[in-house]
Amino acid sequence: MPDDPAKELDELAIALAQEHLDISDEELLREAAEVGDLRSIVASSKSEVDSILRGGTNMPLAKARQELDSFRNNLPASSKVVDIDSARKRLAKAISQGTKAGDKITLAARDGIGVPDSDIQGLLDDADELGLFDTDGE
Amino acid sequence: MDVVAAQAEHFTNDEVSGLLRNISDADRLRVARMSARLAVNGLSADDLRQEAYRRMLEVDAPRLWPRDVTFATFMFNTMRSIRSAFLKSAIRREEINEADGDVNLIDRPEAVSPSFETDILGDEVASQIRNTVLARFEDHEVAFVVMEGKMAGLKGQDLCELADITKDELATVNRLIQRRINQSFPNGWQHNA
Repeated sequence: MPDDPAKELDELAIALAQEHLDISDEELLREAAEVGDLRSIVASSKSEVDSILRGGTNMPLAKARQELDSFRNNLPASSKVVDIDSARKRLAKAISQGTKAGDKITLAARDGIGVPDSDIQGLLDDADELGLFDTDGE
Repeated sequence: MDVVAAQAEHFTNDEVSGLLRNISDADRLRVARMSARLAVNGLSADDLRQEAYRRMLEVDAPRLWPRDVTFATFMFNTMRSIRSAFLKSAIRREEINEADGDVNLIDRPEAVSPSFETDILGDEVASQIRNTVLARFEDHEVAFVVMEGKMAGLKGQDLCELADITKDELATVNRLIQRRINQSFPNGWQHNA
């Protein structure tokens, strides 16, 4: 096995792609006519570019980015909190204020003291999902 | 660089739109072939081209197209840059996943991967593809040697010396290589090997 076959394929891919810049138009068109894929490639390219110019969203990467943005935006607010001290303060505030319905929250570990860091975030996520608290993450 | 200077050196968004509406058939073909060669696992030729077009047309922060650069060259550079960023990002995600199997996505936002496939080639798979590609040239000793040279990063005169051929002979061999690769791997070899 060569030392780094993936790197070799990488070098080859870039070299073969770049060589197309030095091939004349006539030669490219002649070779494609021989292979028989000229018409389909040109038609497909026109449709692709037209769609993008019209602002089409059938672009895989753009779509993936939209999905990712949407995923991030839909995360519970508390999941975006990285600082565990802020999360603990938020939980303590939520407990002291009670739920939106006016119910008091009772935890075995009062004010979150003694609750492991990993559980604090989980508690806030669950509460947000259930829509219990009215806090804004402060 | 101020707006006026940028417009003097680069095509405006409207100009880019106009140029894209009038791409020649040869350039459409050229870009399609280049994108097939640059495609990698998880980033198809279609992905590459479309992402390149999208970046050129982005209103807020487009990838600026210098007026003295041809469409094909600009597309090659853009697609190569997208490919390189994709591979780096895929490798980083792979390293993170290897470092700690149970990745904490909250603490490591960079570990949140896009929805497309992100697996990168392992050595064994890469070696199999390499051998499959080279096998297409087993009947042509010079082409085989030139292919090995390209894989080692050699170009031009270095390839001529390696295969003991003239520049004209290299051009002929290059045409044969391109023809066979296009026929055997029209969508990139990682998808056809």
